[in-house]
This record gives sequence, C-alpha cells and structure tokens, in this order.
Amino acid sequence: MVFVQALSAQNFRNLAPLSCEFSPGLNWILGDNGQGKTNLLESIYLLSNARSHRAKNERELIAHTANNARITAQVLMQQTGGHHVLEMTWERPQTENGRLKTILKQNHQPLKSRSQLLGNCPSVSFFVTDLLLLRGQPEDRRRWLDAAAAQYDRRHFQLVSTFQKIRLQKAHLLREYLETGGASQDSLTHLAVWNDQFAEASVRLMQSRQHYLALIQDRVTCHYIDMAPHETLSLSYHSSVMARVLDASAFDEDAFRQELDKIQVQECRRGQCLIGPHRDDVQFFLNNQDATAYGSQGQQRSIVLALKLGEWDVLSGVLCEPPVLLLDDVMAELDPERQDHLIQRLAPEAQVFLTTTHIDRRVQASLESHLGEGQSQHQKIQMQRGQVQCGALKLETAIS
Amino acid sequence: MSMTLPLVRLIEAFQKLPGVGPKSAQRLAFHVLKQSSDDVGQFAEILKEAKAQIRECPECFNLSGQSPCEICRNKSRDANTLCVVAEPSDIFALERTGEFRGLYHVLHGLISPLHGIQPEDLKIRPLLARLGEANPIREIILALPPSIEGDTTSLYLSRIIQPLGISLTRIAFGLPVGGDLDYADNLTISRALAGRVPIS
Ligand SMILES: [Zn+2]
Repeated sequence: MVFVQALSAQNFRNLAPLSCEFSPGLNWILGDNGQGKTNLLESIYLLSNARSHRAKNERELIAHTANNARITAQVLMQQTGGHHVLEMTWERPQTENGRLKTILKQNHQPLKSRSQLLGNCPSVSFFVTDLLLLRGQPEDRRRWLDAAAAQYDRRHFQLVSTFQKIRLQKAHLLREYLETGGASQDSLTHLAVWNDQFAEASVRLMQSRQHYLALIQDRVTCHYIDMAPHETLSLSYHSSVMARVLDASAFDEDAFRQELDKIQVQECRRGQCLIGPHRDDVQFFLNNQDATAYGSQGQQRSIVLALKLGEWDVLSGVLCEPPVLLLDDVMAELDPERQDHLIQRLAPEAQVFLTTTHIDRRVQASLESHLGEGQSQHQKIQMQRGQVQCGALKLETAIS
Repeated sequence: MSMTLPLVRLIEAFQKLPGVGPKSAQRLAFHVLKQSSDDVGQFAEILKEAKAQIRECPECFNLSGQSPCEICRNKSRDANTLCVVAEPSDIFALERTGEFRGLYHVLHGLISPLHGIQPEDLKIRPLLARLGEANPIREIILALPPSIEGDTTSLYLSRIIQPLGISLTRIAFGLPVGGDLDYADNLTISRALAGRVPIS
C-alpha cells in the first residue's frame, strides 16, 4: 500500500505550523467548517498531483502574513520499497508582477519539473464538488480526466502541460493579430509553425485521454451495474476536432492540422484558439441516453462513484498496491447504500483520509470493520482554527 | 535600524543582477566596501570599458570588442558550416568543446508571442541575408534549446531555409530538457554535435 507516514506544513493557507504522523489505516480529520480540514487534505493532494484541485492561483497557498509556504511528507510505497520525502515550497514574488516560485524536491533533491513529482504518492481523491461533475462545465470534466490520467501515467501530466504552453503562445499570437489588425504573409508562417506544434501536442493529449478512458471503461461499467443492475453506463470522449472530420477512423495529426488550416481565418478574426483538446469533453451515457442531460441526481451520483472506483481499480492494478484515498466531506452526501458500496470496494489495507464535521456511527462501524486490523490502526485528528490535535481525542466528543 | 543611503543603493544595484537575492546582494556590497579604493576603481573601469567596447558583430551578432568578431575574422574556420544559437553565451559553451570549426549566427532570443517576441524581433533577416547568392554556406546546424520556444524557432527557421536547398541539421539530443547550452558539459555538447540529425 501507499502510506503517507508523516506530514508537516509551514505557512500553508490558514494552517498553524503542523507536524503530524498518520495511521496506515483510517485517518479521520474532524472539525467544524472553516477550521482547515480541507487544507490538510489539499496538502496531501498537492504532493500527489503536483497541482491544487481548487487554487486558481498558487499564491493563495501562502498564508497572508508569510512570504513562503512549505509542505513536506514522508511516503512509503510498500510494493516498490520506495521511501520518499516529498517537499513543495512556494515563494512569494518580491514585486507585484513577479512570478511565484515553486520548488519541488524529492529526497531533498530539487526536481526539474512538476511531472517528476507524480507517482511518488499515488492517490485517488473524492471531493464533494466531484459529485457535481456531470452537472458542471466541460472544463471540470477535463480537469478530472487529466488529473486521473496523470496519476495512472505521469507522462500524461507532461502532455497536458506541453499542450497548455503551446496553446498560451498561440493564443497570444492570435490576440496580437486581432489588436494590430490582421496577419501579414510573414506572420502567417509564424502561425503555421505554432499550428504544427499545436496539432502534434493536441493529438498526443487526445490519444492519452482516450487511452485512459478506455482503460477505466470496463471497471466503471461494472461498478455501475452493481448499483443499478438494469442500466449500462458508457463513457465517451467528445472531441471538438474529431466531430469536424467526416471519417473519424482516418483521424490523425495530419487531419487535425488540416482542420486548423480551415479554421485559421476565423481564429485570426476572433483572436482565439477555437478548436483543440481545450474544448473537448467527456460524455456519459446510460443505456445510450445522455446522462448529463437526462440522468437523475441519484444516477449522476452513482456515475461519479463508479468513476472514482474505476480510477481506484486501475491505479491499484498498475501499482500492485492500493493508492491513498482522500475523501473530503463526501460520505455525508451519499446515501447509506452508496456509502457501503464505496467502503466495501476498498482494499482493506488501504490508507484513507476522511474529513467530516461529525462522525456518523454507521459509517464509522462500516469503515472500521472493513479497513485495517482494528481500532489501533485508526486515528482521529481534530482541527480547530488551523490547529491540529492528533490522536488523543475521546470518541464521545467527536460525535455530535 | 536604518541603513545609510549609498549602502542601500549599492545593495539594490547588486540585487538587480540575475540570481542575486537580498542576502547575496548584502554580502557583495559589504565585500566591495572592504576592498581598497584602487581595486574598486579598477573594477568600475572594467565594467565601463566592457560596456563601451563590446558590440554586436555585424556578421554573426556575437558580442565582441572587434568588428567583425574574432571568430568571423579567423580565416582558418570553416565558412561552409553555420551554427545558429539563441544567445552569445551559447557560443562560449560550444567553443569550449573545440569540436565545432564553422561560423556562428546569434538570434538573440527565441520566438515567444507570450513575451512579445516575434520572428522579426530576432536576427533572422540578417541570417537570410548571409544565405543570399554566392554564399559559401552548405550546412546549417540549429543548436537551439529543447524547449517549446526552441522547437518552434527551429521549425520556423527550417520552413524558411529549406526552400534555399541548404542542408539543415539540428542538435537533437544529449542536452538536458529545459537546460541551456551554457550549463551542458563539454562531453554532452560533443555528443550532440556528432549526433545531429537532418530536419525533414
Ligand atoms: Zn562574428
């Protein structure tokens, strides 16, 4: 199993300087809203994913009064015998327009890129906001897909970041055309080069996304059938570019590149990248009907649960050990049937972090009987105004 | 505690240098104040002279106190091969290996619309002028960093150079991703030069 043994944080969001050790089994993170539970979970998420799931700008991660923030964790991967000290530091720029500096380290050695951090603390996360995945924007689904695929294969992270850099450059060029009143013949050669780069990066990213969806498809379908025996769930990648190509089977980089040529005039006129994987989406079908538009709230929640379990299965399979599971307030949002469905399908030896405002006795009994070897394996961490109190919590006080 | 103004200004001046943070700037400032007036005067002279005398070479845009630069005026160098680099400091790194005997061309940057750098902001037009009629150049080696901006600049150059029928190769591997030629060791650069591949 993947085991986050210890975590320390300095000036990270509203957290008081903390240093705590975790149980290899179940770790309850308790406290009222706004006390720092999600921040604690986010710090583990960051070391696992190299990006925050919610910070729009990483400057948010540094406490208002501080110039830099740091999180450090010791992670043990039993199967590979890997023992890592992972560290992320953010330094506030000295001037208003300066760039935030992020330093990543593994075993005290600086890493050259964020993607190198991935794979050292594999995890599956389930946040309350994930329950709205089907109702949300295509952007939310792309973010889910890219994060999950990067946990499975760190090269996906690299593909996403390469594509984003190229898109940013091309978007700047198009905006420049818009502002200076069109492109000259010379500058069209310039755009053509970015389009070459854009097409290559796009197709590689799309293929990697489709590959990951195909990988989890079977597992997701199985988990859904367990919950709703008469409904078949299928996933499909919707590409803004493939939809434009008549013969989808002949789709490749050249076909993509040709579509970019066709839309070039419009892109220059609008000053935007109009087609590409940044406009794509994941579609969900129940018995061939679009579940995003027609699924009930209950069906949509089951779909998200099936997705998360599919992620879990595939990641466990490639690691040959269970990843860390991060559950943020999510149990309270699931009905008892779905709660049990989730718990029963976790590997008993998995390490689980679970935030909640109060411990539900039923969930507790179910989790504690399924995970770990007994009460000694479980830990309760109480959070209050960013402060952590580990371990010595009496059970009665935690139940409201 | 408030510091005297000349000292504050000295520290600020050092801090403007790349890679110098507040602590190093302080250390450097106090070091300067410990030195003799002669040493400090000489140092200031060297800075001024270097800035006054060193210019871009009109041929290759390398930095030099001579015009044309030492490399361009060296008759023993192979005028048939031209190596295109992003910055003058890259020439330093390549010259250290002693492997390359041709001439250079410095672009002074890489294409990056994000930073407002378009092809016309680089020394690309002068490069095309060097490739004009009756030029001796038979091979061009693109030695640009393996980054998105380096790749794009290489692609751009190959698009405009290929129609001229000059053999075009690229130093394609051996250099660390995101690393500058400046930091690559001699062996890595030699290997990269030997393993250059044609651009199709
Ligand atoms: Zn010269």
